[in-house]
Amino acid sequence: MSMIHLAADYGWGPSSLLLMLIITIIVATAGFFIVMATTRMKRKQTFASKTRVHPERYWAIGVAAVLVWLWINSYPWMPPVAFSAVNPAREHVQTVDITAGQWFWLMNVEGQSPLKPGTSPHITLVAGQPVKFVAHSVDVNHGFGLMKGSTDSAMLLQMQVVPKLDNIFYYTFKEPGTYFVRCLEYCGYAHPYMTSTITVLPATPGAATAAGAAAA
Amino acid sequence: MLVEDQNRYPQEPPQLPQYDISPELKKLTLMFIGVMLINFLIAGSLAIGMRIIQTDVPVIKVDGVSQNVLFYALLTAHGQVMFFGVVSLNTMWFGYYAMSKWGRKPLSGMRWAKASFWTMESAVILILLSGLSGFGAGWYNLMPLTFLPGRPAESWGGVAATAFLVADVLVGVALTIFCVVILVTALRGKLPVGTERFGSRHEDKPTEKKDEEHEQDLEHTHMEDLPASVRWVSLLGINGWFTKKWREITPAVPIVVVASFVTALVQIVANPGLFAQLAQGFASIQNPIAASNWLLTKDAWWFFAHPIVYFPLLIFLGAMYFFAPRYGKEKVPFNKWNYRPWPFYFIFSVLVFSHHVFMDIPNPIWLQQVAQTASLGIVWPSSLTIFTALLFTWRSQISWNITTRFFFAGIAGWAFGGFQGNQLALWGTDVYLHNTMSLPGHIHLMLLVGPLLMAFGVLYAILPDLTKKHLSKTLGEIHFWLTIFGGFGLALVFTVIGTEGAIRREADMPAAFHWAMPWLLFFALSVGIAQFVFVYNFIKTLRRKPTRSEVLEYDDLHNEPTGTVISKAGGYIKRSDDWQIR
Repeated sequence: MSMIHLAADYGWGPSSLLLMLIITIIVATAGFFIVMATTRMKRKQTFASKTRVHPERYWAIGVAAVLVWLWINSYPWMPPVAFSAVNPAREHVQTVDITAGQWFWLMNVEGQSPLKPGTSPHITLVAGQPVKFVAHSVDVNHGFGLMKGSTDSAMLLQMQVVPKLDNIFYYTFKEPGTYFVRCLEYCGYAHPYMTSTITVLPATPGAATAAGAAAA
Repeated sequence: MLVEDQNRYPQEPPQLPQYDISPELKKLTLMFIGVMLINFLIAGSLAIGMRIIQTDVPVIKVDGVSQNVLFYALLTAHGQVMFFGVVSLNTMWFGYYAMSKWGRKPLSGMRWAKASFWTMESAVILILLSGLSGFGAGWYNLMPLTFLPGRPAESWGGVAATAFLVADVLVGVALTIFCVVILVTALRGKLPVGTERFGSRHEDKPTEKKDEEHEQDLEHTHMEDLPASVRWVSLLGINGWFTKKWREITPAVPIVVVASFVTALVQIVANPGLFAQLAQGFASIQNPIAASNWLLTKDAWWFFAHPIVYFPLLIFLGAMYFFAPRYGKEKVPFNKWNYRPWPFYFIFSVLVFSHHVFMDIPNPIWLQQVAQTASLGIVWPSSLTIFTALLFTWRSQISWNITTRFFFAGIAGWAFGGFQGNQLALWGTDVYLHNTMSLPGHIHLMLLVGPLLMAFGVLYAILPDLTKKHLSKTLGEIHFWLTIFGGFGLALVFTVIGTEGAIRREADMPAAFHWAMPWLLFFALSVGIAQFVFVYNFIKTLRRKPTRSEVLEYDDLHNEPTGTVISKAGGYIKRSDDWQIR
């Protein structure tokens, strides 16, 4: 069974990003203060003498190298590259059809009975199997955002839901549980309340059947 | 009667070019500054309103739906007035001033410059009026939300939406006029230039020696009507990349002129994106559902709207390159690395737009990859500029006055915003950060505590040149400390809650983030109070009579310009002016 690996799976998830940012800002702040402190030194240096060893040249080369490294390293996380791990011909892909509108989510899993009007708007999926989210909007631009845990936890994935287009994102749920869907793109005054949930069952034999029964 | 007052920032000469801009341009510059400050206070007040709503402070008492509608109207007006009524006006006044002052000639099209002022301010007024009518589609106006607010009776109607669109048309017109005036002024007629081998080209003493006298000889300047190809090479800073042999003979224009030119060129390339978005908007008023391609409309908007973020930045980077070494008392501070970033600023500013649409999966992959490449690419010239600023400062004789402090803080804020920008620039990591409060954190670092701080630094430096009076030092210090305290606090709290999962543009913030709301209000109030202090300082200084020392000082400056006299050959007095490329 193929797994879709996004940046978080390579250690570049939200917590890591925040930690990296905090460390960088602390180091940079210290650097700025050190530079300021050197202006109090008695022995000054002219600009010409500072540039005799060509520091800008080495800085430029170093920064360029880091940026190229970042680009190359991040290539596998680019969504189309990450999605290419899925081979629909060889494995079962759970397809979720999402309709977004002001201000609701209507989600249906292919192969399961469509949700009846008035039922609680959530679907049931299986962990460990790739999921193909296909979203379209009936009115304005929405944003499909998925979070683990409560509605205020960090992001797992997101995509824009642009009107008149099929907006597709592949994802593999690694753990069972209840996941929360929020609209991430401001779509009118009730935008904060445009939410839903997805229940993910453990990956066991018959789990797909159980998911279908739960949906019915 | 002249009033003595010791509590003023002394004139530490930034050694502005010895060219007096016209009284008409001085008046226009002061008008721009005054109106920009008023817009800043208004837009800031709108932001305070947003903070009050999210903190549940019982100042604004409205029910749930009306509170949300109000929040989004405030959000829309705040964003647009800040972008166009504040930071764009900042760029416009300094662009006109700098092109004339450093270009040592009058603007080509003074009447058009005035027209751009009135057009932009009319746009700002119309934006505020549409906000009063409840228009709240967001400052970036993501169509078709403009026409489909959900429930028009409770939010906004067609009139408010149309007024907003008309306002944005005026914004586009004003920006285009500005760009054309700057470009024409730069491309037509003479420009001040200098080269290392100026002496031998113009039959002065040959400059073969490598001693101090040779150093002085390097600092020649004269006005020259450059051929078109050379002019473009110089104005884009491309000659910074030439080999030493060619660099020594290719004319170099002042770095501030390069910055103004690149700013205007980037924006004039980007402006059609705004007009394309608006054209689609007007075409869709009657039937937004039937309209064609909203993805393309979004892409067109961001083609305009990322450059508009660099519009307030680039020109003040040019100012930093000029002022920082002067306050560090350097004689010949500029080198090729001052000019080298500028061609890349131009290229990447134009290409970088579509990282705003990384989450639009239907966009072609090649576009997304160009976006990621350009987003990382723009880090390169930016990091060079920051490094050069730090290099100017390291063990220098720089005096920490209000201008240098604002510049240094602005460079730091911009750098922090850039670190965050690196994470947003990668398609894979942007998945976790887009549309969270990390983005308001990023934009407030990039704008509020970035170029806006640099703009204040420039204001403190040149207001004496415009008004022949100094601002109050004590009030300046209060302005500085409160602004950076509030600005950095605001941006960093936004960033922290964003990475924890707080979504942006949420009128009703989830309970887990309520802890941050009072802090955001506190920091926003700090910034707001600081600007009132500055406005008070500005008005008080304009209205008072000059002191005796100020009168003598400006008379002296006027009669004896700074800079060493190099020669008086041919009736032209050559003075040192250290903006040539070494």
